[in-house]
Amino acid sequence: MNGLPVVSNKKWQREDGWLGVVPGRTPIKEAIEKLGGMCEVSEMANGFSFDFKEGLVRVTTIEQNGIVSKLWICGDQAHELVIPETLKEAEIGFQNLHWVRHDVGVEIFESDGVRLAAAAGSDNGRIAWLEFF
Amino acid sequence: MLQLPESPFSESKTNSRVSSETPDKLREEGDLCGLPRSLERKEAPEKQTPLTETQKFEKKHGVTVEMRGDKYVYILKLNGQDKELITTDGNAKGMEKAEAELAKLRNEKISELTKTFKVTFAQEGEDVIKQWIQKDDCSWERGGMIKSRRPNLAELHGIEAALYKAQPSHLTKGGGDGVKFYFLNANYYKGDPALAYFIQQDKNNHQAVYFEPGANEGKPITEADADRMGKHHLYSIEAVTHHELMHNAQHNSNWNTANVKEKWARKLGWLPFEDPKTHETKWIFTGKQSEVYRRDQDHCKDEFKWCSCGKHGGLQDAEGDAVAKVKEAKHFTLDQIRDLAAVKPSTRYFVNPLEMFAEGGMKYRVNERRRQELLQDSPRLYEAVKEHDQEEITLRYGKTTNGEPNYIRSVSGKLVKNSPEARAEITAFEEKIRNPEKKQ
Repeated sequence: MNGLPVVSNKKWQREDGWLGVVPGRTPIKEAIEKLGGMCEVSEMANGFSFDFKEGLVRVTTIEQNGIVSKLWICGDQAHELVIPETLKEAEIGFQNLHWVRHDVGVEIFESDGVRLAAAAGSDNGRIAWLEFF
Repeated sequence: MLQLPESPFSESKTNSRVSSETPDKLREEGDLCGLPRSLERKEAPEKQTPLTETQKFEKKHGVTVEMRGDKYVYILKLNGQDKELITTDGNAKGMEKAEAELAKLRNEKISELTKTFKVTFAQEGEDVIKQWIQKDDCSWERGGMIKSRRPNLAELHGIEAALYKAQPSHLTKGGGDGVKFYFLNANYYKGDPALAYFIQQDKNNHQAVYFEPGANEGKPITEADADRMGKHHLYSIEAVTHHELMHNAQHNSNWNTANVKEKWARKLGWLPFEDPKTHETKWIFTGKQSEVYRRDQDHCKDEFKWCSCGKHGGLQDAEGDAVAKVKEAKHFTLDQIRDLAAVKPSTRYFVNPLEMFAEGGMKYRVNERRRQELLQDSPRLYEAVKEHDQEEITLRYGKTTNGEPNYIRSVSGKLVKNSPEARAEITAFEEKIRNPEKKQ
């Protein structure tokens, strides 16, 4: 089953966010509540990351503004986390998805407000991770 | 344009082949497995003298052909020794016979490796994947289908040497299968050569390693052969295979998950940094005085530069003032960064924590000499790699009823039963390096 809850004729847009979290708008406190409360906090060079569901979901906040900067989701349980499982599924949900660079074992694709890593070596690579920003 | 070191498979000095990059240069620029690419590279090959039939044969099969009297002797330079494989008449017919004999030996070796390690090799002419081609506007599109060729004996022996010491990193995530090796007839990214790539999922959803065209030409088969050549560049077929299998180990150990990857990266002195403009997670590298550096570029066609950063990852100029662009920042050479690093990279290829870790893992496993160098040069990297390695071994091969790992990695790189004697050997090796004054 496709992970993306695509409503026909409607593509995902930045303001849709994901799992109730809209990067650039949702306060980090609200995001923590929406994502289940329990999280592990780590320091980044310019902010903090908050990991949920044993690291499968992460939100970040940078530059001390208290707003979610990015929502990151691991592809390992794509179905459960309602994200696309493959590159072709992602292309259905996200407009203008285009290749930007290679990383170890994966190809990185982007469209407006979305970045994802799909397994390298396949035209329809499994999604390794996906992030909304 | 740099010249490759003379081929160990050729006696001739008149026909040394020329490449746009040496393996060492590729490592320096960060192209061992394709990240990131320098787009300024010139692809036009320098003028080459046409190869003789014998040289073409050597190149194709990875052997040296020596004329002795009226005979051809076909030699594999392996593990620091000359291994005479076959002898034929010293003419075209003899070479035809050798071709058939070598194909037989190759197929036997493939069967042996498949049986022993569950690894597989792509067939001659097998589809790999469509090539990526960059357009003028920096965007990319898929091109024609890349095909695979069969590996030659030199490649198989280099891979075999790595497999014995890379265990269990040659296995796929479930552990039921080994990776598949492909030998590409065109670069994965057009006009952008690398040596090899780790592939999370090939066309059949299988973990794989792609060797780029020419990646193994003229290479020493093993690190012992690299030492015999008087080089110290860590670019033998064995070493490259180890490196890619370390990436496979990372994949099997869930490095796709941000917190897992960062846990290991932090041990190596890397910290995640979220670019405020693009929200891309980048890496900053910590120096001995807790100062930080970042490797970045302003534009996709720019060269990557190591830059000075403030403690929050923002770029800085020579005066320590914040600047917006890479070109305005204070720059450092790769060797300067290597010397300044809190955790010294084990080789010159450390474009990010994954690559630095893979290089450390390669040195840890490949042989005693390289492991010694790793511990001497970079004790923290040694410890991180050792910890990761043991986790992987234990995960795959289990623990005793006492909760001890069943297997550990010996100093030679091979797995051994976890016995007091085996542990004592490792401890003695490490102590000798950590406390050299106790040597006597």
